[in-house]
Amino acid sequence: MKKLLIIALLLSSSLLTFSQCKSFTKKNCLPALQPFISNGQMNAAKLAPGESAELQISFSKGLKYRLLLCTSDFLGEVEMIILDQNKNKLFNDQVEKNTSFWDFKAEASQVLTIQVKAPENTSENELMGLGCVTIMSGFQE
Amino acid sequence: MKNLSIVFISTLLFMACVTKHEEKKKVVDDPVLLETEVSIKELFYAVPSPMELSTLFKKAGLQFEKSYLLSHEEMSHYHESEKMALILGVYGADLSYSSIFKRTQESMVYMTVCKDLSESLGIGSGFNEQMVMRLEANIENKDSIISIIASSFLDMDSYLKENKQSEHASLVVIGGWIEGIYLGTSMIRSNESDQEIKEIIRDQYGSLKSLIKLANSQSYTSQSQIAMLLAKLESAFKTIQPSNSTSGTVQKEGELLVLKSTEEDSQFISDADFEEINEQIKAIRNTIIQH
Repeated sequence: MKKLLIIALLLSSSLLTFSQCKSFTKKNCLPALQPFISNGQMNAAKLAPGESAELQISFSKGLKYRLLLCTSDFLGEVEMIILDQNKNKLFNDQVEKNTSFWDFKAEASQVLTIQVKAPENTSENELMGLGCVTIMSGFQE
Repeated sequence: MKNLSIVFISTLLFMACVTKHEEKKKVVDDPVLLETEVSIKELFYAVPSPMELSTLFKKAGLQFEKSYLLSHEEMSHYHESEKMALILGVYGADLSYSSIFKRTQESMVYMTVCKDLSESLGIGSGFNEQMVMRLEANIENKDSIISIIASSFLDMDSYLKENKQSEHASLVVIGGWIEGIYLGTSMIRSNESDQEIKEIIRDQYGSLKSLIKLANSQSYTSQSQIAMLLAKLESAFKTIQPSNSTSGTVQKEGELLVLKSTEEDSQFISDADFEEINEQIKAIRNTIIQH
């Protein structure tokens, strides 16, 4: 029965991963992107405790941007880190609840890396396995 | 045992589809709980959308010029799926450009073209009949039009990734970025007032490098050709980059994070400097739209 449980979990998760992340993001997070205009790309990753995903994103001078992060509750306090092109840390913050966003103003055009890091195993999340992390961005004049 | 397995898996699938979730109770109650298998780490590349590029160009004083758009009549000439994905990106950029410049008639035409092309590609979400009707109903409201188009792009991207067509999603982005830059480079006039537009294009060097990584991260038949063309374009961009470019900083000002740079004021970009980029962009665009 235990083997069956593992097989069923693996099967169902591989089939439904992106769909679940998409539904979850659209319902719980996407409204927070307003009034910024989406860049049209939904970047969803499956992360386990301690793992990270990265988004390389261009910011253009003269526009404002919103970076939106949507995570599964059980992952805990996911960390958002901004790195420059040489991977130097410029800024970091924690995700509150399952949706957080940051607004940027670009005084000079540049490419930055947004690193999203799930916290290490805790008693709360150790049995949870992988969870959804979605990173999106929008702009406005 | 077989029946038990079917019931068990069906139950799991049903539970996975439920979006409402309650307290954290370990495992199956979380709607986005996924699996306990191999560890992964993902890297994404976000390049400016055609709508963002059009906004930058408009802000810098670029005027709308219909003659540079790809004629909607060309659509019927494309039949191979990878080519259609690239062309969908091109038409999507023309749609974005038309909408940012408040050209409602052109917006409707290109929205319909994107819908038809999406249908041909079997994309069930994004540019569909429902979105065309929404656009028609909101045709007088510029903000609504932009919101509908941005939403269509997002739904299409989600659909392609959900249905294991990430290579098509990347090709749409590549086609859209090239067309977006093409519209900017084609309309530059030989005078100093277009210096700001040249700077916007020059500043896309970073996004071009991200685009190249995106293009190389997927597997598709035209990959080597696209990679070669983008590499030549990167070389052309490199020649007009400021020599003293350095890393940026992030400063928090109230609720806003301000991205600053230690780079000094940019130097003048002459028409001669810009010619190579112009030529390379035209060459890539011609390759993309070739039947």
